[in-house]
Amino acid sequence: MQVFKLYMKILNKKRSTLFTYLLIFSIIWIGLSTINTKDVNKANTPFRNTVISIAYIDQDHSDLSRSFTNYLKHTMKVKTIDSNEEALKDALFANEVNYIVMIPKGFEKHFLEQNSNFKLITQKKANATEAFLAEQKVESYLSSVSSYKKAAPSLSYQAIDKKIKKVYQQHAVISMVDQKDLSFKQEMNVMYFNTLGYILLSLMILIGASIMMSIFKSEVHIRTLASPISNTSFNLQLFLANIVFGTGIWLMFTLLSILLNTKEMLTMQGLLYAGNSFTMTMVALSFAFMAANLLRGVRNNMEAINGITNVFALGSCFICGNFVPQSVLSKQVLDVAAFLPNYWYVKINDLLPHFHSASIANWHSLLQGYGIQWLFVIVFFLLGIVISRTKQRVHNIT
Amino acid sequence: MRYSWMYRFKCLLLDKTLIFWSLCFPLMLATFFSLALKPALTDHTFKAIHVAVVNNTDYQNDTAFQAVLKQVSTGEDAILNITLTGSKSEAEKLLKDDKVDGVIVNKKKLLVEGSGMNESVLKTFMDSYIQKEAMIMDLIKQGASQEAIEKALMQDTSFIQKSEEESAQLFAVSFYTIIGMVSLMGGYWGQRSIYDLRADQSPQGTRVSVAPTHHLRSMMVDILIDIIIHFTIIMILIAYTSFVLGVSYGDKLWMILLISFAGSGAGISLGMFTSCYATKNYGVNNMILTAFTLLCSFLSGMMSVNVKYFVETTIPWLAKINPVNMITDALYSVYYYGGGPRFWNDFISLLIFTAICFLCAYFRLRRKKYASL
Repeated sequence: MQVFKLYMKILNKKRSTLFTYLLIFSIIWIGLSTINTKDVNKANTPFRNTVISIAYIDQDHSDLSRSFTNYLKHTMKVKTIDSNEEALKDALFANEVNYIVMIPKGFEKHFLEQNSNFKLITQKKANATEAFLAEQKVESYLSSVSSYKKAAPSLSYQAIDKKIKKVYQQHAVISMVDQKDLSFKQEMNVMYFNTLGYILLSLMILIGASIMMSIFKSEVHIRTLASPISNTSFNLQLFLANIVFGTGIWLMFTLLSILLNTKEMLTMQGLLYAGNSFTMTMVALSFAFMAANLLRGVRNNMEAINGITNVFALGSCFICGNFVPQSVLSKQVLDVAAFLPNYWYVKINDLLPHFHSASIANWHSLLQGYGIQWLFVIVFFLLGIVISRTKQRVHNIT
Repeated sequence: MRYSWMYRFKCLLLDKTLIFWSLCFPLMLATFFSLALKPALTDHTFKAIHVAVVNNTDYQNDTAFQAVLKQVSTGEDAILNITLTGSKSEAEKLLKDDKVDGVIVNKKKLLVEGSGMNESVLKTFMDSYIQKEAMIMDLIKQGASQEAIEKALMQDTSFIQKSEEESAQLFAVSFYTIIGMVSLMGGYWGQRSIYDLRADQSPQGTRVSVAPTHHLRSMMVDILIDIIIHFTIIMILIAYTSFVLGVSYGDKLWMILLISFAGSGAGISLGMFTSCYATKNYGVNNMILTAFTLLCSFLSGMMSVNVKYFVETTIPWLAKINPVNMITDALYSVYYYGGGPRFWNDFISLLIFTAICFLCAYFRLRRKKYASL
């Protein structure tokens, strides 16, 4: 097992690089999953309204503005942002808020006097549905106050406010047919594991492949060729070392997932998530094995490794739905993505929250996803061996 | 000097791996981004929601509700697209077949399959209707005349002054991060230059060190050639994303060229800095640069635009020292604000970053003496 030992020795030598990568990728992993799920409605009710984010600036500080802003807080998610123009525009651009309301000084007085020239100032992004919904809510509240004032002019604003609060307690009854929604924790788990696909791919290529590149360095490799180890044994030991390294990384991230989301992870679905990420780890390390063999003898191959990491890992994760949900990707993109292992990894992660162990269709989809990923493992491994043999032959001839 | 230029240029252009990855990687990545992010980050324009209404006795007897449904489902601004069904089961079938987003069983009861945007709009519409109805009942109780109520409800004045931000390309930010990332990846060229300059890193460095050329001059020649090659790569990338992928950069071309040039310089000087201070191993230096660039790109919103906003609002100092963010933010300010003080802030920060990296690298290299080569 000399090759295996050599791999481990190099890994030990590169431990500071490994820890740097682990730290950076853990930050990316946790940061991305957390920020992307922060606007998911956390309510436990069966129906959860889409989160509409709104910001307001109250310059009036009147009874009307206070009641109005309370209404906004109850019906939408109010976010606090700086009131300067640039900060507001930035927030709208980044979809941090969908709608901005500015209540100018003297609004209550003019509004109750039915002065239609004095208005609330609002800002929204053109054509966005969220902004349309926010605007409907704002218009609805103000028109209710105005209707009371017009139809019953004798009522004071305080009396109108009380009546409006009572009226706004009325809601339509909404029932769900076949609950399709995910809980917040489930959403978080899907996001964690989808992002983990990218982390595993990048780590395996950057670290695994670079260790193999060190072993493939021509001055080292020539000495290895002179030894009585066969090419098959050499490749198998290398692959085994890759598996040990990959399993260690996978174990670390799985433990971290259990720590972050204990309740969801210690279930049947949690086990299937872990199984899926393990399969992805195997795909990643077999790809790294193939890539390292492919780049054997290439000058400055570290740049190539970096390029492959960015193009294959980052690029495939974008089109397979690791960062953005597969549901928003076009059919043509998904058709192409189906030829990549990531696509099947994400598909299983998306399926698991709805997984019923009694459903044959669910098991079929699950096993299909696992099976295709393992096929990729075999194909990448065999391609790696074939490339290695071809290069060996060329080497022997030259 | 002329020969230094010529041969160094030849040397770097002959490094096909570096040229290939420096040029192909950003083009491929931009293509992937375009495929995935354009549909995902484009604002969803509101379209009339398909809804089934059960034509039962409740509905047939409620003429007011019928009138409101007719009003909101006709004309160009229709918010609902109604299908009348004979029975609840028929409507439920439409719902299960994804033909409609919801079923209005009666004015107080709505049936949906999940919690999405369309379902939320339907819920808001239904809530609004029964709240208006409760308000009318209350006004009648208050003794308001039917005429006064009708007049109050028929008002068509809006209480809000609307201002719409142009529908901006949110996905453009992700492409700006690619420009930022590729700029920093100019560091590979900088690392290559230091690798070829330092006697303790490569045999070429040994030969250069014994030559009677001033270190600053060798370094300047390398920097200029690196910048020419790398800046050309960035220009190709900007042209590709703009003309082929349709990413908007605003209309101030000179600002885009200026920030790209500064970005190129920042990347190359960062590469020189890491090579001088990190390790003597070229491969490890490459990996350090990759890790640093990935982290900076992530913090600038490459994988999710929300991350950029989150960092800028909660950890602003981190956004200010992040070179990828300086480039991304400068391009964003050209696109969204037409430049202005924000652009110049980013530009000057980038120049300071470049100067610090370059000077640190130079001080490490100057007057370096070896006992034996």
